[in-house]
Amino acid sequence: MSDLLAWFSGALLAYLVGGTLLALLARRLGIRSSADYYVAGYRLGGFLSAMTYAATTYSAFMMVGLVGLTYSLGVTSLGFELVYLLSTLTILTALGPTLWRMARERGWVSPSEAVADITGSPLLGIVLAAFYLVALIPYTAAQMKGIGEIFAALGPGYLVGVVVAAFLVMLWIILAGVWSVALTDAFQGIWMIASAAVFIAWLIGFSSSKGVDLAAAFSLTNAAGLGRLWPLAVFVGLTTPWAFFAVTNPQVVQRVFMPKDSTALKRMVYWFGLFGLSYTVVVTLAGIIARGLTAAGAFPSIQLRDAVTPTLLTMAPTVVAAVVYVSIVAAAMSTANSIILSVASSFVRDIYENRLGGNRPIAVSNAIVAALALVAASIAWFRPANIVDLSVLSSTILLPAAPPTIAGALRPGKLRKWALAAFLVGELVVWSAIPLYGTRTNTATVVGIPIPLMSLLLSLAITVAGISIR
Amino acid sequence: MERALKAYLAWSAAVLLAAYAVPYAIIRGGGPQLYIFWTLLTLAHYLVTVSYIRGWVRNE
Repeated sequence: MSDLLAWFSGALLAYLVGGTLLALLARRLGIRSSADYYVAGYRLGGFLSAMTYAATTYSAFMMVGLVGLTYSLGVTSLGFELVYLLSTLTILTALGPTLWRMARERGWVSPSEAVADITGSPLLGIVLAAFYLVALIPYTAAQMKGIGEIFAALGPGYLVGVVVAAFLVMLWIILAGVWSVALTDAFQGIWMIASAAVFIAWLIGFSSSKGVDLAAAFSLTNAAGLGRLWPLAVFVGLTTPWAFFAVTNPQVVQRVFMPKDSTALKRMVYWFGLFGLSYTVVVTLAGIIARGLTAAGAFPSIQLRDAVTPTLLTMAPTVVAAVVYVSIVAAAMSTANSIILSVASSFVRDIYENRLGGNRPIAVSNAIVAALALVAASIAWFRPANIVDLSVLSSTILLPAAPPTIAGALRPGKLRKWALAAFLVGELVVWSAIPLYGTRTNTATVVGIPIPLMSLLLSLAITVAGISIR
Repeated sequence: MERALKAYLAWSAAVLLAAYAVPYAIIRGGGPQLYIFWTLLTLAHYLVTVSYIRGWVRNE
Protein backbone atom coordinates (compact mmCIF):
# COMPACT_ATOMS: atom_id res chain seq x y z
CA MET A 1 0.00 0.00 0.00
CA SER A 2 1.40 3.40 -0.97
CA ASP A 3 1.99 6.07 1.67
CA LEU A 4 -0.74 8.26 0.21
CA LEU A 5 -3.28 5.43 0.17
CA ALA A 6 -2.42 4.59 3.77
CA TRP A 7 -2.85 8.24 4.92
CA PHE A 8 -6.01 8.63 2.81
CA SER A 9 -7.49 5.45 4.33
CA GLY A 10 -6.67 6.72 7.84
CA ALA A 11 -8.15 10.17 7.20
CA LEU A 12 -11.20 8.64 5.52
CA LEU A 13 -11.74 6.31 8.46
CA ALA A 14 -11.55 9.26 10.89
CA TYR A 15 -14.07 11.12 8.69
CA LEU A 16 -16.45 8.13 8.45
CA VAL A 17 -16.32 7.36 12.17
CA GLY A 18 -16.64 11.04 13.18
CA GLY A 19 -19.57 11.63 10.82
CA THR A 20 -21.38 8.45 11.81
CA LEU A 21 -20.99 9.14 15.53
CA LEU A 22 -22.49 12.60 14.99
CA ALA A 23 -25.34 11.12 12.94
CA LEU A 24 -26.01 8.62 15.76
CA LEU A 25 -25.93 11.45 18.29
CA ALA A 26 -28.56 13.27 16.23
CA ARG A 27 -30.99 10.35 16.73
CA ARG A 28 -31.42 11.46 20.33
CA LEU A 29 -33.17 14.61 19.11
CA GLY A 30 -36.21 12.55 18.14
CA ILE A 31 -37.89 12.49 14.73
CA ARG A 32 -41.68 12.23 14.87
CA SER A 33 -42.97 14.20 11.88
CA SER A 34 -41.94 15.21 8.39
CA ALA A 35 -41.20 18.69 9.78
CA ASP A 36 -38.67 17.10 12.19
CA TYR A 37 -37.21 14.96 9.42
CA TYR A 38 -36.82 17.66 6.76
CA VAL A 39 -36.57 21.02 8.53
CA ALA A 40 -35.40 20.02 12.02
CA GLY A 41 -38.77 21.05 13.48
CA TYR A 42 -37.68 24.68 12.81
CA ARG A 43 -35.28 24.31 15.75
CA LEU A 44 -31.79 24.49 14.23
CA GLY A 45 -29.18 26.69 15.97
CA GLY A 46 -27.33 29.47 14.13
CA PHE A 47 -23.95 27.78 13.77
CA LEU A 48 -25.44 24.50 12.52
CA SER A 49 -27.69 26.44 10.12
CA ALA A 50 -24.70 28.29 8.70
CA MET A 51 -22.50 25.25 8.34
CA THR A 52 -25.17 23.12 6.71
CA TYR A 53 -25.92 26.01 4.32
CA ALA A 54 -22.23 26.37 3.45
CA ALA A 55 -21.45 22.66 3.16
CA THR A 56 -24.57 22.12 1.03
CA THR A 57 -23.74 25.03 -1.28
CA TYR A 58 -20.04 24.42 -1.77
CA SER A 59 -19.54 21.10 -3.51
CA ALA A 60 -16.48 19.28 -4.84
CA PHE A 61 -16.57 21.90 -7.62
CA MET A 62 -14.68 24.33 -5.39
CA MET A 63 -11.51 22.41 -4.56
CA VAL A 64 -11.35 20.66 -7.93
CA GLY A 65 -13.35 22.64 -10.50
CA LEU A 66 -12.71 26.21 -9.36
CA VAL A 67 -8.97 25.68 -8.79
CA GLY A 68 -8.79 24.31 -12.36
CA LEU A 69 -11.01 27.07 -13.77
CA THR A 70 -8.79 29.77 -12.23
CA TYR A 71 -5.68 27.97 -13.48
CA SER A 72 -7.08 27.73 -17.02
CA LEU A 73 -9.16 30.88 -17.37
CA GLY A 74 -7.59 33.26 -14.87
CA VAL A 75 -8.70 35.87 -12.37
CA THR A 76 -12.25 36.32 -13.71
CA SER A 77 -13.04 32.95 -12.07
CA LEU A 78 -12.95 34.80 -8.73
CA GLY A 79 -15.51 37.33 -10.01
CA PHE A 80 -17.70 34.47 -11.24
CA GLU A 81 -17.77 32.85 -7.79
CA LEU A 82 -18.03 36.11 -5.81
CA VAL A 83 -21.03 37.35 -7.82
CA TYR A 84 -22.77 34.22 -6.51
CA LEU A 85 -21.80 35.16 -2.94
CA LEU A 86 -22.80 38.85 -3.29
CA SER A 87 -26.17 37.87 -4.66
CA THR A 88 -26.77 35.12 -2.11
CA LEU A 89 -25.98 37.44 0.81
CA THR A 90 -28.48 39.92 -0.62
CA ILE A 91 -31.21 37.33 -1.15
CA LEU A 92 -30.72 35.77 2.29
CA THR A 93 -30.83 39.19 3.93
CA ALA A 94 -33.69 40.70 1.96
CA LEU A 95 -35.98 37.66 1.55
CA GLY A 96 -34.65 35.35 4.29
CA PRO A 97 -36.69 36.80 7.18
CA THR A 98 -39.93 36.73 5.13
CA LEU A 99 -39.45 33.12 3.99
CA TRP A 100 -38.31 32.06 7.47
CA ARG A 101 -41.38 33.61 9.15
CA MET A 102 -43.82 32.30 6.54
CA ALA A 103 -42.35 28.78 6.80
CA ARG A 104 -43.38 28.72 10.47
CA GLU A 105 -46.74 30.36 10.01
CA ARG A 106 -47.76 28.12 7.12
CA GLY A 107 -45.93 24.95 8.16
CA TRP A 108 -43.80 24.63 5.03
CA VAL A 109 -41.60 21.56 4.87
CA SER A 110 -40.66 21.20 1.21
CA PRO A 111 -39.39 24.00 -1.07
CA SER A 112 -41.95 23.15 -3.78
CA GLU A 113 -44.71 23.42 -1.17
CA ALA A 114 -43.40 26.90 -0.31
CA VAL A 115 -43.30 28.00 -3.97
CA ALA A 116 -46.81 26.63 -4.58
CA ASP A 117 -48.07 28.54 -1.55
CA ILE A 118 -46.46 31.92 -2.23
CA THR A 119 -47.32 31.92 -5.93
CA GLY A 120 -50.83 30.55 -5.37
CA SER A 121 -50.14 27.84 -7.96
CA PRO A 122 -50.28 24.26 -6.60
CA LEU A 123 -49.56 23.00 -10.12
CA LEU A 124 -46.26 24.91 -10.18
CA GLY A 125 -45.28 23.08 -6.99
CA ILE A 126 -45.81 19.69 -8.66
CA VAL A 127 -44.07 20.72 -11.89
CA LEU A 128 -41.17 22.10 -9.88
CA ALA A 129 -40.80 18.83 -7.94
CA ALA A 130 -40.41 17.02 -11.29
CA PHE A 131 -37.82 19.55 -12.45
CA TYR A 132 -35.88 19.10 -9.18
CA LEU A 133 -35.50 15.45 -10.16
CA VAL A 134 -34.36 16.25 -13.71
CA ALA A 135 -31.93 18.96 -12.63
CA LEU A 136 -30.59 17.65 -9.35
CA ILE A 137 -30.34 13.87 -9.52
CA PRO A 138 -27.67 14.14 -12.27
CA TYR A 139 -25.97 16.77 -10.10
CA THR A 140 -25.98 14.32 -7.18
CA ALA A 141 -24.72 11.55 -9.46
CA ALA A 142 -21.88 13.86 -10.53
CA GLN A 143 -20.90 14.29 -6.84
CA MET A 144 -20.83 10.50 -6.42
CA LYS A 145 -18.86 10.20 -9.64
CA GLY A 146 -16.33 12.68 -8.19
CA ILE A 147 -15.90 10.48 -5.10
CA GLY A 148 -15.54 7.45 -7.40
CA GLU A 149 -12.78 9.22 -9.37
CA ILE A 150 -10.83 9.98 -6.17
CA PHE A 151 -11.06 6.34 -5.10
CA ALA A 152 -9.99 5.27 -8.59
CA ALA A 153 -6.98 7.61 -8.58
CA LEU A 154 -5.82 6.52 -5.12
CA GLY A 155 -6.27 2.78 -5.59
CA PRO A 156 -9.45 1.29 -4.09
CA GLY A 157 -11.33 1.68 -7.40
CA TYR A 158 -14.14 3.75 -8.89
CA LEU A 159 -17.03 1.49 -7.96
CA VAL A 160 -15.88 1.28 -4.32
CA GLY A 161 -16.06 5.08 -4.19
CA VAL A 162 -19.58 5.18 -5.65
CA VAL A 163 -20.79 2.46 -3.26
CA VAL A 164 -19.25 4.22 -0.23
CA ALA A 165 -20.88 7.50 -1.30
CA ALA A 166 -24.33 5.94 -1.79
CA PHE A 167 -24.12 4.03 1.50
CA LEU A 168 -23.09 7.13 3.46
CA VAL A 169 -25.79 9.28 1.87
CA MET A 170 -28.42 6.74 2.94
CA LEU A 171 -26.96 6.11 6.40
CA TRP A 172 -26.44 9.74 7.35
CA ILE A 173 -29.92 10.74 6.21
CA ILE A 174 -31.87 7.76 7.49
CA LEU A 175 -30.36 7.92 10.99
CA ALA A 176 -32.04 11.23 11.85
CA GLY A 177 -33.14 13.09 8.72
CA VAL A 178 -31.91 16.63 8.49
CA TRP A 179 -30.64 16.57 12.08
CA SER A 180 -27.97 14.03 11.16
CA VAL A 181 -27.38 15.83 7.85
CA ALA A 182 -26.89 19.18 9.61
CA LEU A 183 -24.53 17.75 12.23
CA THR A 184 -22.46 15.87 9.66
CA ASP A 185 -22.54 18.95 7.40
CA ALA A 186 -21.07 21.05 10.22
CA PHE A 187 -18.34 18.44 10.70
CA GLN A 188 -17.71 18.31 6.95
CA GLY A 189 -17.77 22.10 6.60
CA ILE A 190 -15.12 22.44 9.30
CA TRP A 191 -13.05 19.74 7.57
CA MET A 192 -13.41 21.56 4.22
CA ILE A 193 -12.35 25.00 5.46
CA ALA A 194 -9.57 23.66 7.73
CA SER A 195 -8.08 21.54 4.94
CA ALA A 196 -8.32 24.48 2.51
CA ALA A 197 -6.30 26.54 5.01
CA VAL A 198 -3.70 23.76 5.34
CA PHE A 199 -3.58 23.36 1.56
CA ILE A 200 -3.02 27.06 0.84
CA ALA A 201 -0.44 27.38 3.63
CA TRP A 202 1.51 24.47 2.15
CA LEU A 203 1.10 25.83 -1.40
CA ILE A 204 2.34 29.32 -0.49
CA GLY A 205 5.37 27.77 1.23
CA PHE A 206 6.04 25.39 -1.66
CA SER A 207 5.66 28.16 -4.19
CA SER A 208 8.01 30.48 -2.28
CA SER A 209 10.61 27.71 -2.17
CA LYS A 210 10.46 27.72 -5.98
CA GLY A 211 10.97 31.50 -6.06
CA VAL A 212 7.32 32.31 -6.83
CA ASP A 213 5.72 34.43 -4.10
CA LEU A 214 2.11 35.66 -4.29
CA ALA A 215 3.00 38.87 -6.13
CA ALA A 216 5.09 36.91 -8.62
CA ALA A 217 2.26 34.38 -9.12
CA PHE A 218 -0.15 37.21 -10.00
CA SER A 219 2.37 38.85 -12.26
CA LEU A 220 3.22 35.58 -14.05
CA THR A 221 -0.50 34.76 -14.42
CA ASN A 222 -1.04 38.22 -15.89
CA ALA A 223 1.88 37.78 -18.26
CA ALA A 224 0.37 34.48 -19.42
CA GLY A 225 -2.71 36.46 -20.53
CA LEU A 226 -4.95 35.17 -17.73
CA GLY A 227 -5.46 38.55 -16.05
CA ARG A 228 -7.83 39.49 -18.84
CA LEU A 229 -11.58 39.49 -18.38
CA TRP A 230 -13.76 36.88 -20.02
CA PRO A 231 -16.02 38.26 -22.77
CA LEU A 232 -18.93 40.05 -21.06
CA ALA A 233 -21.57 37.72 -22.55
CA VAL A 234 -19.70 34.70 -21.14
CA PHE A 235 -19.40 36.30 -17.70
CA VAL A 236 -23.09 37.26 -17.64
CA GLY A 237 -24.16 33.87 -19.00
CA LEU A 238 -22.18 31.96 -16.39
CA THR A 239 -23.02 34.16 -13.39
CA THR A 240 -26.77 34.62 -13.98
CA PRO A 241 -27.90 31.09 -12.96
CA TRP A 242 -25.67 31.15 -9.86
CA ALA A 243 -26.78 34.62 -8.82
CA PHE A 244 -30.28 33.22 -8.19
CA PHE A 245 -29.14 29.86 -6.75
CA ALA A 246 -30.47 30.84 -3.29
CA VAL A 247 -34.09 31.03 -4.53
CA THR A 248 -34.05 28.29 -7.16
CA ASN A 249 -32.19 25.35 -5.62
CA PRO A 250 -34.42 23.46 -3.16
CA GLN A 251 -31.59 22.24 -0.93
CA VAL A 252 -30.69 25.81 0.04
CA VAL A 253 -34.21 27.31 -0.04
CA GLN A 254 -35.21 24.70 2.55
CA ARG A 255 -32.34 25.68 4.84
CA VAL A 256 -33.88 29.13 5.35
CA PHE A 257 -36.88 27.45 7.05
CA MET A 258 -34.72 25.76 9.70
CA PRO A 259 -33.13 28.33 12.08
CA LYS A 260 -34.81 28.26 15.49
CA ASP A 261 -35.20 32.04 15.86
CA SER A 262 -34.22 35.28 14.16
CA THR A 263 -30.89 35.31 16.01
CA ALA A 264 -30.09 31.89 14.53
CA LEU A 265 -31.10 33.14 11.08
CA LYS A 266 -28.83 36.16 11.53
CA ARG A 267 -25.93 33.93 12.60
CA MET A 268 -26.55 31.72 9.60
CA VAL A 269 -25.94 34.70 7.29
CA TYR A 270 -22.86 35.87 9.30
CA TRP A 271 -21.08 32.55 9.32
CA PHE A 272 -22.08 31.51 5.83
CA GLY A 273 -20.79 34.81 4.39
CA LEU A 274 -17.49 34.46 6.20
CA PHE A 275 -17.12 30.82 5.13
CA GLY A 276 -17.98 31.61 1.51
CA LEU A 277 -15.60 34.54 1.18
CA SER A 278 -12.68 32.74 2.83
CA TYR A 279 -13.17 29.49 0.91
CA THR A 280 -13.52 31.27 -2.44
CA VAL A 281 -10.41 33.41 -1.94
CA VAL A 282 -8.31 30.43 -0.83
CA VAL A 283 -9.44 28.20 -3.71
CA THR A 284 -8.88 30.83 -6.42
CA LEU A 285 -5.50 31.77 -4.92
CA ALA A 286 -4.51 28.10 -5.27
CA GLY A 287 -5.36 28.26 -8.99
CA ILE A 288 -3.35 31.45 -9.47
CA ILE A 289 -0.32 30.11 -7.61
CA ALA A 290 -0.44 26.90 -9.66
CA ARG A 291 -0.56 28.93 -12.87
CA GLY A 292 2.36 31.08 -11.62
CA LEU A 293 4.35 27.91 -10.88
CA THR A 294 3.65 26.63 -14.41
CA ALA A 295 4.82 29.93 -15.90
CA ALA A 296 7.98 29.70 -13.77
CA GLY A 297 8.60 26.14 -14.98
CA ALA A 298 8.11 24.64 -11.50
CA PHE A 299 4.82 22.85 -12.23
CA PRO A 300 3.74 20.99 -15.39
CA SER A 301 1.34 22.62 -17.81
CA ILE A 302 -2.05 21.00 -17.22
CA GLN A 303 -4.55 20.83 -20.06
CA LEU A 304 -7.39 19.07 -18.22
CA ARG A 305 -8.81 21.57 -15.68
CA ASP A 306 -9.96 18.99 -13.15
CA ALA A 307 -6.45 17.53 -13.03
CA VAL A 308 -4.85 20.67 -11.53
CA THR A 309 -5.64 19.95 -7.86
CA PRO A 310 -4.75 16.22 -8.04
CA THR A 311 -1.44 17.12 -9.75
CA LEU A 312 -0.68 19.75 -7.08
CA LEU A 313 -1.43 17.15 -4.41
CA THR A 314 1.16 14.77 -5.86
CA MET A 315 3.73 17.37 -4.77
CA ALA A 316 2.28 17.93 -1.29
CA PRO A 317 3.25 15.99 1.83
CA THR A 318 1.13 12.83 1.91
CA VAL A 319 -0.71 13.88 5.07
CA VAL A 320 -1.76 17.20 3.45
CA ALA A 321 -2.82 15.39 0.26
CA ALA A 322 -4.83 12.82 2.23
CA VAL A 323 -6.64 15.46 4.29
CA VAL A 324 -7.46 17.52 1.17
CA TYR A 325 -8.70 14.45 -0.72
CA VAL A 326 -11.03 13.61 2.17
CA SER A 327 -12.22 17.25 2.19
CA ILE A 328 -13.23 16.82 -1.46
CA VAL A 329 -15.14 13.66 -0.50
CA ALA A 330 -16.77 15.68 2.33
CA ALA A 331 -17.74 18.52 -0.02
CA ALA A 332 -19.33 16.07 -2.46
CA MET A 333 -21.10 14.11 0.29
CA SER A 334 -22.53 17.16 2.07
CA THR A 335 -23.98 18.44 -1.21
CA ALA A 336 -25.31 15.03 -2.27
CA ASN A 337 -27.15 14.17 0.93
CA SER A 338 -28.77 17.60 1.23
CA ILE A 339 -30.05 17.40 -2.34
CA ILE A 340 -31.43 13.88 -1.87
CA LEU A 341 -33.18 14.93 1.33
CA SER A 342 -34.62 18.04 -0.26
CA VAL A 343 -35.86 16.31 -3.42
CA ALA A 344 -37.42 13.56 -1.26
CA SER A 345 -39.27 16.18 0.79
CA SER A 346 -41.13 17.40 -2.29
CA PHE A 347 -42.54 13.92 -2.89
CA VAL A 348 -43.28 13.01 0.70
CA ARG A 349 -44.79 16.34 1.68
CA ASP A 350 -46.49 17.55 -1.52
CA ILE A 351 -47.75 14.21 -2.77
CA TYR A 352 -47.77 11.57 0.00
CA GLU A 353 -48.92 13.77 2.89
CA ASN A 354 -50.78 16.69 1.30
CA ARG A 355 -52.47 14.92 -1.63
CA LEU A 356 -52.71 11.26 -0.58
CA GLY A 357 -53.22 11.96 3.14
CA GLY A 358 -50.48 9.51 4.14
CA ASN A 359 -49.67 9.21 7.85
CA ARG A 360 -46.37 7.32 7.88
CA PRO A 361 -44.08 10.05 6.53
CA ILE A 362 -40.85 8.86 8.19
CA ALA A 363 -41.00 5.32 6.79
CA VAL A 364 -41.96 6.64 3.35
CA SER A 365 -39.21 9.28 3.53
CA ASN A 366 -36.59 6.64 4.33
CA ALA A 367 -37.75 4.52 1.38
CA ILE A 368 -37.68 7.48 -1.02
CA VAL A 369 -34.26 8.63 0.22
CA ALA A 370 -32.89 5.11 -0.32
CA ALA A 371 -34.47 4.93 -3.80
CA LEU A 372 -33.10 8.35 -4.86
CA ALA A 373 -29.62 7.53 -3.52
CA LEU A 374 -29.65 4.24 -5.45
CA VAL A 375 -30.82 5.97 -8.64
CA ALA A 376 -28.05 8.59 -8.34
CA ALA A 377 -25.48 5.87 -7.59
CA SER A 378 -26.65 3.80 -10.58
CA ILE A 379 -26.28 6.82 -12.85
CA ALA A 380 -22.80 7.44 -11.42
CA TRP A 381 -21.96 3.74 -11.78
CA PHE A 382 -22.73 3.65 -15.52
CA ARG A 383 -21.17 7.09 -16.14
CA PRO A 384 -23.51 8.14 -19.00
CA ALA A 385 -21.88 10.83 -21.09
CA ASN A 386 -24.48 13.49 -20.40
CA ILE A 387 -24.59 13.48 -16.58
CA VAL A 388 -21.86 16.06 -16.31
CA ASP A 389 -23.65 18.17 -18.94
CA LEU A 390 -26.89 18.06 -16.99
CA SER A 391 -25.19 18.68 -13.66
CA VAL A 392 -23.38 21.72 -15.06
CA LEU A 393 -26.72 23.03 -16.27
CA SER A 394 -28.68 22.29 -13.07
CA SER A 395 -28.93 25.92 -11.95
CA THR A 396 -29.81 27.08 -15.46
CA ILE A 397 -32.64 24.52 -15.59
CA LEU A 398 -34.03 25.85 -12.29
CA LEU A 399 -33.41 29.55 -13.09
CA PRO A 400 -36.89 30.34 -14.51
CA ALA A 401 -38.32 29.67 -11.04
CA ALA A 402 -36.53 32.75 -9.66
CA PRO A 403 -38.88 35.58 -10.77
CA PRO A 404 -42.15 33.95 -9.64
CA THR A 405 -40.53 32.83 -6.36
CA ILE A 406 -39.20 36.31 -5.53
CA ALA A 407 -42.45 37.98 -6.60
CA GLY A 408 -44.42 35.44 -4.57
CA ALA A 409 -42.36 36.14 -1.45
CA LEU A 410 -43.04 39.87 -1.85
CA ARG A 411 -46.75 39.53 -2.74
CA PRO A 412 -47.89 36.06 -1.62
CA GLY A 413 -50.64 34.24 -3.47
CA LYS A 414 -51.14 36.80 -6.26
CA LEU A 415 -49.52 35.24 -9.31
CA ARG A 416 -51.38 31.92 -9.69
CA LYS A 417 -51.38 30.69 -13.31
CA TRP A 418 -48.95 33.46 -14.28
CA ALA A 419 -46.31 31.85 -12.07
CA LEU A 420 -46.58 28.56 -13.93
CA ALA A 421 -46.56 30.36 -17.29
CA ALA A 422 -43.44 32.34 -16.32
CA PHE A 423 -41.64 29.16 -15.28
CA LEU A 424 -42.64 27.16 -18.36
CA VAL A 425 -41.73 29.89 -20.86
CA GLY A 426 -38.29 30.20 -19.23
CA GLU A 427 -37.92 26.41 -19.43
CA LEU A 428 -38.87 26.49 -23.11
CA VAL A 429 -35.88 28.75 -23.79
CA VAL A 430 -33.52 26.55 -21.75
CA TRP A 431 -34.68 23.24 -23.24
CA SER A 432 -34.64 24.61 -26.78
CA ALA A 433 -31.00 25.56 -26.27
CA ILE A 434 -29.70 22.42 -24.51
CA PRO A 435 -29.92 20.10 -27.58
CA LEU A 436 -28.20 22.76 -29.68
CA TYR A 437 -25.44 23.89 -27.32
CA GLY A 438 -25.06 21.18 -24.64
CA THR A 439 -22.65 22.33 -21.90
CA ARG A 440 -22.15 25.59 -23.81
CA THR A 441 -25.79 26.58 -23.19
CA ASN A 442 -24.76 29.02 -20.44
CA THR A 443 -22.32 30.87 -22.68
CA ALA A 444 -24.24 30.72 -25.96
CA THR A 445 -26.08 33.87 -27.05
CA VAL A 446 -29.15 34.62 -29.12
CA VAL A 447 -29.27 38.15 -30.59
CA GLY A 448 -26.35 38.94 -28.30
CA ILE A 449 -28.18 37.91 -25.11
CA PRO A 450 -26.82 34.94 -23.11
CA ILE A 451 -29.39 32.15 -22.99
CA PRO A 452 -29.71 32.05 -19.16
CA LEU A 453 -30.35 35.80 -19.15
CA MET A 454 -32.93 35.47 -21.92
CA SER A 455 -34.71 32.71 -20.00
CA LEU A 456 -34.67 34.85 -16.84
CA LEU A 457 -35.92 37.98 -18.63
CA LEU A 458 -38.82 36.16 -20.26
CA SER A 459 -39.83 34.59 -16.96
CA LEU A 460 -39.51 38.02 -15.33
CA ALA A 461 -41.62 39.71 -18.03
CA ILE A 462 -44.47 37.22 -17.54
CA THR A 463 -44.20 37.54 -13.77
CA VAL A 464 -44.42 41.35 -13.99
CA ALA A 465 -47.35 41.06 -16.42
CA GLY A 466 -49.08 38.72 -13.97
CA ILE A 467 -48.65 41.15 -11.09
CA SER A 468 -49.78 44.14 -13.18
CA ILE A 469 -52.89 42.44 -14.58
CA ARG A 470 -54.04 41.00 -11.25
CA MET B 1 -41.22 48.20 2.80
CA GLU B 2 -39.21 49.75 5.63
CA ARG B 3 -36.61 52.43 4.89
CA ALA B 4 -33.63 50.42 6.11
CA LEU B 5 -34.51 47.52 3.78
CA LYS B 6 -34.93 49.91 0.84
CA ALA B 7 -31.50 51.41 1.58
CA TYR B 8 -29.97 47.93 1.87
CA LEU B 9 -31.53 46.85 -1.44
CA ALA B 10 -30.26 50.03 -3.15
CA TRP B 11 -26.76 49.34 -1.78
CA SER B 12 -26.93 45.70 -2.92
CA ALA B 13 -28.06 46.68 -6.40
CA ALA B 14 -25.18 49.15 -6.62
CA VAL B 15 -22.72 46.49 -5.46
CA LEU B 16 -23.96 43.93 -7.98
CA LEU B 17 -23.87 46.49 -10.76
CA ALA B 18 -20.33 47.44 -9.72
CA ALA B 19 -19.27 43.76 -9.73
CA TYR B 20 -20.02 43.71 -13.49
CA ALA B 21 -19.52 47.32 -14.56
CA VAL B 22 -16.28 48.34 -12.83
CA PRO B 23 -14.16 45.45 -14.21
CA TYR B 24 -15.58 45.79 -17.73
CA ALA B 25 -15.78 49.58 -17.94
CA ILE B 26 -12.91 50.75 -15.76
CA ILE B 27 -10.32 48.14 -14.75
CA ARG B 28 -10.41 46.10 -17.99
CA GLY B 29 -6.89 44.68 -18.19
CA GLY B 30 -5.26 44.09 -14.83
CA GLY B 31 -5.33 40.72 -13.06
CA PRO B 32 -4.26 41.67 -9.52
CA GLN B 33 -6.46 44.80 -9.56
CA LEU B 34 -9.45 42.69 -10.57
CA TYR B 35 -8.72 40.21 -7.80
CA ILE B 36 -8.41 42.95 -5.18
CA PHE B 37 -11.49 44.80 -6.45
CA TRP B 38 -13.82 41.80 -6.32
CA THR B 39 -12.48 40.68 -2.94
CA LEU B 40 -12.81 44.13 -1.34
CA LEU B 41 -16.26 44.66 -2.89
CA THR B 42 -17.47 41.37 -1.39
CA LEU B 43 -15.90 42.17 1.96
CA ALA B 44 -17.59 45.60 1.97
CA HIS B 45 -20.95 44.01 1.09
CA TYR B 46 -20.47 41.42 3.80
CA LEU B 47 -19.78 44.11 6.41
CA VAL B 48 -22.77 46.22 5.33
CA THR B 49 -24.94 43.07 5.40
CA VAL B 50 -23.75 42.23 8.90
CA SER B 51 -24.54 45.74 10.16
CA TYR B 52 -27.95 45.71 8.49
CA ILE B 53 -29.02 42.36 9.92
CA ARG B 54 -28.07 43.42 13.44
CA GLY B 55 -31.29 45.43 13.18
CA TRP B 56 -33.40 42.28 12.78
CA VAL B 57 -33.23 41.48 16.48
CA ARG B 58 -33.72 45.10 17.56
CA ASN B 59 -36.83 45.29 15.38
CA GLU B 60 -38.47 42.19 16.89
